[in-house]
Amino acid sequence: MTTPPERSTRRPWPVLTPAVLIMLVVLVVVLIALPWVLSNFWLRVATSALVFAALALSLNVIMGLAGYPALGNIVFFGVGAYVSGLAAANLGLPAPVAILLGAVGAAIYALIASRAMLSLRGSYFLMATVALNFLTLELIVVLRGLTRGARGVTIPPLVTGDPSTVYDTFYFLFLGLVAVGAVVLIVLRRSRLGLGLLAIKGNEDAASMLGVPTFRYKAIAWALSAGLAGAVGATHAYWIGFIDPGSSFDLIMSLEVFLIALLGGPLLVIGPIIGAFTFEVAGVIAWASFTEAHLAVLGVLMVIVVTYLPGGLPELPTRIRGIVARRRGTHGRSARAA
Amino acid sequence: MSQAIVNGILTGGLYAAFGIGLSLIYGVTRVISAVHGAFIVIGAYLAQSAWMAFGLDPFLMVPVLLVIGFGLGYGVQRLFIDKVMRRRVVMTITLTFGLDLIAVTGILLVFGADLRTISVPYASVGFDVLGARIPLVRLGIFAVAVILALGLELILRRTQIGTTIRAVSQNRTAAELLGIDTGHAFGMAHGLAAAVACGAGALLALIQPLQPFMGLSVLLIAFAVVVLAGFGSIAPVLISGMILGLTENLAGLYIGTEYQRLAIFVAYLAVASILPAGLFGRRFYAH
Repeated sequence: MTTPPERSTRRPWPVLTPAVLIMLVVLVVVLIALPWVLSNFWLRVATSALVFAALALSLNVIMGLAGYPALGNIVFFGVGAYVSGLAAANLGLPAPVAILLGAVGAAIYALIASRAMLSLRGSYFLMATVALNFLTLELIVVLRGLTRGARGVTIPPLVTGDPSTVYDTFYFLFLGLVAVGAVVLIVLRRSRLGLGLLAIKGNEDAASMLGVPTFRYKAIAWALSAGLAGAVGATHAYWIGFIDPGSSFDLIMSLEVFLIALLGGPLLVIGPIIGAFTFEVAGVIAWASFTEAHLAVLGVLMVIVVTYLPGGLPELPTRIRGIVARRRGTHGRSARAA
Repeated sequence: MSQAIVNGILTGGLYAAFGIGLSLIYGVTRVISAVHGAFIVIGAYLAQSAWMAFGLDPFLMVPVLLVIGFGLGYGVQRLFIDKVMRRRVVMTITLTFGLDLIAVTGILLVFGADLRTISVPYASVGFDVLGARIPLVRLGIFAVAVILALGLELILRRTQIGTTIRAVSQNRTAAELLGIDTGHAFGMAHGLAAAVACGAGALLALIQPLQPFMGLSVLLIAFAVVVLAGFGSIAPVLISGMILGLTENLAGLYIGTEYQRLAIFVAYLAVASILPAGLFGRRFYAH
């Protein structure tokens, strides 16, 4: 017998059911084992997938939990890259300190921007984050005395040694950031803050009337999201060894992260990880044959996901079953459910 | 100083033409169409090609572009946006950005990545007013842009299809109950918006070198116009366009030309956060 109060404590999304738990354990084991299995080329692809996974997890803190579509969130990746890159190149700070500074710098930047931007909603918030990204890009270009402008900054190496050591180091660094993102999301969604954010996503005005300090919660979520994106940007700067405004504040990259978060669907933690690996592997295969039309492939993917797979990859099995059922001419339940 | 003001106002007319379509699409369908910038750039490239191939004046190309733009907008609405219109903004923006990337690739493959420019024979013709020089081209651009925006307004206010579009935007269900083909009405709205965008593209080609990726900055300007204007009629859009044009040109004069784009973004974010209802008090967001 289900009474109304019990109903209301029902979790708003799939939590640790046995199936999810098994998936999680398998995923962790596979992710840790990958460097011993993969060739250097595929290890680089996997590392890149981890970068996108970590960014999609950070996006999910503000978009998945609070429902704020921060399309321009790549701005914090860029700020993290620039803060740590300049700290390392100009001040000679050691890498761990520089990366930490990058994360903190990005979080502070989000807090500063939150005053002006978190009162906007929906499309307006979305376009404002895009504008913030380009505003910051222009600032970096203009303040060339400090940032070296459009010429970019060369970052001192994080580790030296044979290539495979370097590859492994960055793989595990990004895996660590993915783990941090996952832990942040898991802890958040069980906390008062996370529940408040979900209430904001559901109905912000109602949440506010029920006593949720909506602005403070949103600002904290955005700062956490930005801090994680900043750490990823900072580490990424060391990985590539060079940053410039165009590649650090790249809206295309932001769109890719957005698409990966959509691919994850309602699975806020596992979804982006699986989505990122699917996206990267598919990308390597598809873009090898369409180098000219790289952007169009991404565009077509975005159109397809929105039109036919709005629930993300978790929805794929039901979709396929629906198509198969229709092919067989049985317009039964599964077809309609899809 | 007076030169910067003249330039600002003249450019502002063009910016208004960029913004008015986006405002119409948002007002009617509640979708921020990220592909709007691509319509403008497609218009610009077609005008440049016609000029290069046949020596056709970009101003004469505008009527042709209106037709092409209308077709593009109607098609995009019926084929893609219709299906997902009522979904969350995350979905509609992803869809329209996806279409934008496809369009950008198309432009890149067809026209190449090199900068393209138009230099009309009367480029240096102009006259002096109060110590400022008014180039004939810029005055023409301003006039055509304002005519395009006014024309759109007239269609919306005075014609059958305009009435239909306004009815659908006010209450979709009621319009459907009255037997209005809402899908067609949304298509017409997007078609009209894209027509103005495409036509304005020819004007853009006259004053800026074209490159395939310029759509995004054009889109941001169009959106900034919408944010400043709020939702409403033509006057706020024209004034907002001019405010942005003035901001850009005065920043260029007093701070430095490399600060022009920065000034536009700062103005946009400042207005969006301080006056979320736009400069004219019409609340238009937060759905």
